[in-house]
Amino acid sequence: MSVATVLDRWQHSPAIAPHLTALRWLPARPARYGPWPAALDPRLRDGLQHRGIARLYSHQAQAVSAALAGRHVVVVSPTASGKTLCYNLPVLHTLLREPAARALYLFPTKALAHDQLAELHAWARALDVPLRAFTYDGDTPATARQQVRVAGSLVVTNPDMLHAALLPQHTQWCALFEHLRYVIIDELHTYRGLFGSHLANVLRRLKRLAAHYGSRPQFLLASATIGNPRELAEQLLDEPVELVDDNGAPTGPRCFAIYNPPAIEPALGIRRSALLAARDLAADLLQAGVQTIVFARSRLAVELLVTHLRADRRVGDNGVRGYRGGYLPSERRAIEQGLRSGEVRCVVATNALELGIDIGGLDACVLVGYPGSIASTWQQVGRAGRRQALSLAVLVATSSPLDQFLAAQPDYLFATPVEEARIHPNNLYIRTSHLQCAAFERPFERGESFGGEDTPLLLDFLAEQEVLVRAGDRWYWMADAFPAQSVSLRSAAIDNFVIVDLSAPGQPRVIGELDRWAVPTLLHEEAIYLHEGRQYQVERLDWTEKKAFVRRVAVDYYTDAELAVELKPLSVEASAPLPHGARHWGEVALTFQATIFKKLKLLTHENVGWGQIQLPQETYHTAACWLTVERPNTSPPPEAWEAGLLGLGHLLAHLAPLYLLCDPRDLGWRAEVRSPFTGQPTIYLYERVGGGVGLAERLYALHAELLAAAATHLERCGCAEGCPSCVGPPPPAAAHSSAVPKPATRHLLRLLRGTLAHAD
Amino acid sequence: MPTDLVAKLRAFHTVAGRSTAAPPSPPALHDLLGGHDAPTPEGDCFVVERAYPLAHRHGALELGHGFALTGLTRQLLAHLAGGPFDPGSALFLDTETTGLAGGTGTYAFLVGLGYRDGDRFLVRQLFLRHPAHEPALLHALGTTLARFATWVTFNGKAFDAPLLATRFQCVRREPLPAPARHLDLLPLARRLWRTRLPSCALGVLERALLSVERGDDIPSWRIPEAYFAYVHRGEAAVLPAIFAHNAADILSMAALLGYCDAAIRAPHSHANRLDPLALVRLLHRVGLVHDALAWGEAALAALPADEQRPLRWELARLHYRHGAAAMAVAHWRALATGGGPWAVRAFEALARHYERRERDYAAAQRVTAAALTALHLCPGAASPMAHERLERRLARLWFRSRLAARSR
Repeated sequence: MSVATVLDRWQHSPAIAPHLTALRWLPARPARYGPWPAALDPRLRDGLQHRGIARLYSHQAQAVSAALAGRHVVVVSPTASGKTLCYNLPVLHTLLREPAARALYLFPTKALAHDQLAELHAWARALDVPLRAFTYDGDTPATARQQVRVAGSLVVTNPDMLHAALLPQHTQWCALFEHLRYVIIDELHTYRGLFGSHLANVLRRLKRLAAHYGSRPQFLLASATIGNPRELAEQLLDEPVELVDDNGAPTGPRCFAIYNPPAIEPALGIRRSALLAARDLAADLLQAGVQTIVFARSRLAVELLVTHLRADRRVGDNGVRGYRGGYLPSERRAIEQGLRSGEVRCVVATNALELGIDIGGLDACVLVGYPGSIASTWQQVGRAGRRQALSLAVLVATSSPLDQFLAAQPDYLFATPVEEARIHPNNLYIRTSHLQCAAFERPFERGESFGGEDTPLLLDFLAEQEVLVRAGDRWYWMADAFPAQSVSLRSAAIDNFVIVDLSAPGQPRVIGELDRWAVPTLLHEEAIYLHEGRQYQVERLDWTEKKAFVRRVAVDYYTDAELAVELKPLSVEASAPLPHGARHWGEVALTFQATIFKKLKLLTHENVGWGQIQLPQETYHTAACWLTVERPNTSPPPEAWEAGLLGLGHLLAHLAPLYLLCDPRDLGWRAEVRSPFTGQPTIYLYERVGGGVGLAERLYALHAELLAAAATHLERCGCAEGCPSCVGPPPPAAAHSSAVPKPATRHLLRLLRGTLAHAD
Repeated sequence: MPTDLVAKLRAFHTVAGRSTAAPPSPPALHDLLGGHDAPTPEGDCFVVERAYPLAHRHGALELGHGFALTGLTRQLLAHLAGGPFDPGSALFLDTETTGLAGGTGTYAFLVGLGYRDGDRFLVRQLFLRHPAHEPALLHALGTTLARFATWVTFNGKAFDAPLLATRFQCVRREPLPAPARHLDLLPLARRLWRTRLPSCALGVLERALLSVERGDDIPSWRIPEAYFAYVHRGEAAVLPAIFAHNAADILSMAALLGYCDAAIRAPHSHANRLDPLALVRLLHRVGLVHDALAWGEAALAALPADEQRPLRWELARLHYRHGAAAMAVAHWRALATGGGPWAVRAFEALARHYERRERDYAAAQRVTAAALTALHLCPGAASPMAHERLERRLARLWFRSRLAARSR
């Protein structure tokens, strides 16, 4: 049976058809080709033709021509469209003609780097180009490092390694820096927010050192679809970049459906669980022999779905695998291989599989919940797709306001352009950190700019802090530290906790790892940790050694931890009045502490117990936008304030990502009936990224549109008192009519928008 | 705006804040340290020179001993350094740095260079007053380095040499004038004293072997901070202590050479004797087979019994390997008479010898039986497998001896 059969059955099933709120057909697209780039070495062209590549797709031809003409290029194309040739051909061309030339490849993860190296070697063999290409990362054995430094004409690494190993030790890499012709940056779309802001600064340092060694590398970038690839590339490089986005690779026809699980209690806005609905749809597909990928929003959801699917009689546990951050690399490689060979019939993944990891094309894709951005949606959907045959993608809406908004207005999803990626390279915190790294690498001279005219001011500040010492027009590093080691390019890269299984006596076994931010909520003592659908209980968490010791268990519940957040404003950047309140944005300190965990029954999610979590708290600084409301004299009762603030916070935090074009997980929120800082009822929307990347400032500017959208969404929602899809559900015992969230939120919105009628 | 920016930066606490008083003008280094500015084409480099007569006592030893090495020591050191070794024409080198982190932002701010000059030992110290003067320091350093084909350092292969190579590459864009021969005393000390001393840090060796007491020495970990205080704030009071520390390190290296020589010549005359087993192995490893055996045999007699046995065992092993089976057998016999675990091992070695080399199965059976007896008297002397192994050997020997008898 095929995708078409399953789809046909769904469309005729009374249980499913009414809930398919949208069904769009995307037509097949034939291949389009471009002329051979005239400058390309004929040996490469012959080699390609020999391998059965008679012509280049239009985007490949354009990208290679532009690269050979010496311009920086950014190529935008979906997975499996031959994007790697766009940058590999110019590099191989140059290596053929200039054996001393060097190239540096940057991938966001080690796994991608290893994939790419294998592909590069295959091309080099096929095209008969002698190639000394190596990966250089944390796994490279010390004995091999020397050879990579001296002899590697092509070094494949990641931004973190470039930042912490290559640049600060540049004297060991002079052969690379002296002859650096190309820098390849793939998966450009991942470099947004904090990571991208860091990378822009790492590239400033790279270009500075390359100039010192007398080279001026050309940058070839590749990206999945985003709204502003050229702008992002130019912001990263601070130079003009040529855009190639005319994808000529063929695709088969595709169908995209939105499935909104049936409402069980329409008045309360309670719908059937999206997770269970997704399980049923995926089981239908698997039963029909359709190879399927399921994307879930969290690691916990991945594990629960794997467990549910394996328990489904129609599926059995054959060929159902999980895939998420935290699995060991070898485990992941095996799953990828299984997907390519067809042995793995279904993979349940987080967005870890969004990146260009090669798993071939699958037949169908099920998204459990809106992935958080239009770009992610198309990327995940793109995992299902064949050159010829029909493929299917289904988005299963959850009850979150954002998902319900999209289920009710599917046009939004299909008509809205893909988000723009935002970076803020001059975030003071990030820029100053890298300025220190740059000074460590080479003294600064007057006239050198590092992201702006104010560079000397920053250098003098660092000299005043006794990190640099100034002599005339030069600033020298002068401190006992290795600054790159204390700057992490991503919030979660460095401090991974290892998960050790103690089930087999005397044979502890590492089963996975987890980034530090997730540890307090997933690996606290007594937590049930799910890994590949198996249950483990955490026996001991060693915070200093970064190890969690777990043991296999078989229980009918899982755990869910609560994180208490404290927020303290440090400074106010700007304020402006609102009709009955004010808006502000500024810097805040955030403190997190895991407090308790609940034990929830596996299928019913009912609460069967709880426990305390004893872990240290974490603090960091970021930016926030906050709204304060004046309490009028005829103040409503306090419980109404609380219900209204919580409702409005819920609504704003869920709608804001649409207007900021960011991932919902980049924003957090908090409501305080009487904030110790403002002394008034206050709603804070804060950025989750340390230092902030400009979201708070834009929220501050967008307030009018956001409040208007909130009002519209509130009225459009069919519930009476409030539901998860708008302001959140009413508390179980909302005895006081004034504590019902929907009217309280409505009142608050009218106050803030100045639309309060006298009768209110 | 500027004040805003700085205020914001302060709020981030990215760096340790300090009071921002203007640095006092640095006092004249010459008054404090007695050095001078040596001109180079890259500018002046501040140099302090001290001369020590060879009769100068550093701790218990005269420096001169380090330059009068006997044949065996000299041969061993030549093997370790990678070529003929003459301390009289070697450069003793030690750096003080702005940290242990390495990378391109760590400077060698004081480079101490010691070498013999006639009947004196000269210590020249090149000092970086300010990182802006680094080209001058490296120029002066390069000139000196070019004159010496041999270096002596303490942990220099892992630390000083790579660090200086980075400085040369950073500032001069050229490789460090690396020596043809480099003797690093740390690995040597580790081999010879690891089993005797809690650590082989230079300070430990000084106190345990050289009887050097440093008095109010500045500890190494405080040196970067003290130098920063000078560079950032002109606080120079502690500089003489750093110079003294560096000079003492260099004198200790020379003294350590002399001590090694004495310890090799007369292994029993020192309170902290070197580990004889380690020296035999080291001599053997560098190819001085004959010397290893001769030295070991000579050292054996005066050793206490508990140290004799492992050395005997090693000597037997080496003799046997190099064809002197009779010597090996003698050692094994000596070990066998002593009982205990060594006897079990020795009897078993003898059994192997008689069975494989001599094909004297009767003798082999006797010593195997003796091994079993020794094992019985001292259970736990050998691995749990030993008993079974010996029984198997005995059975095989019985079979072989029958076979041999029949064929005869």
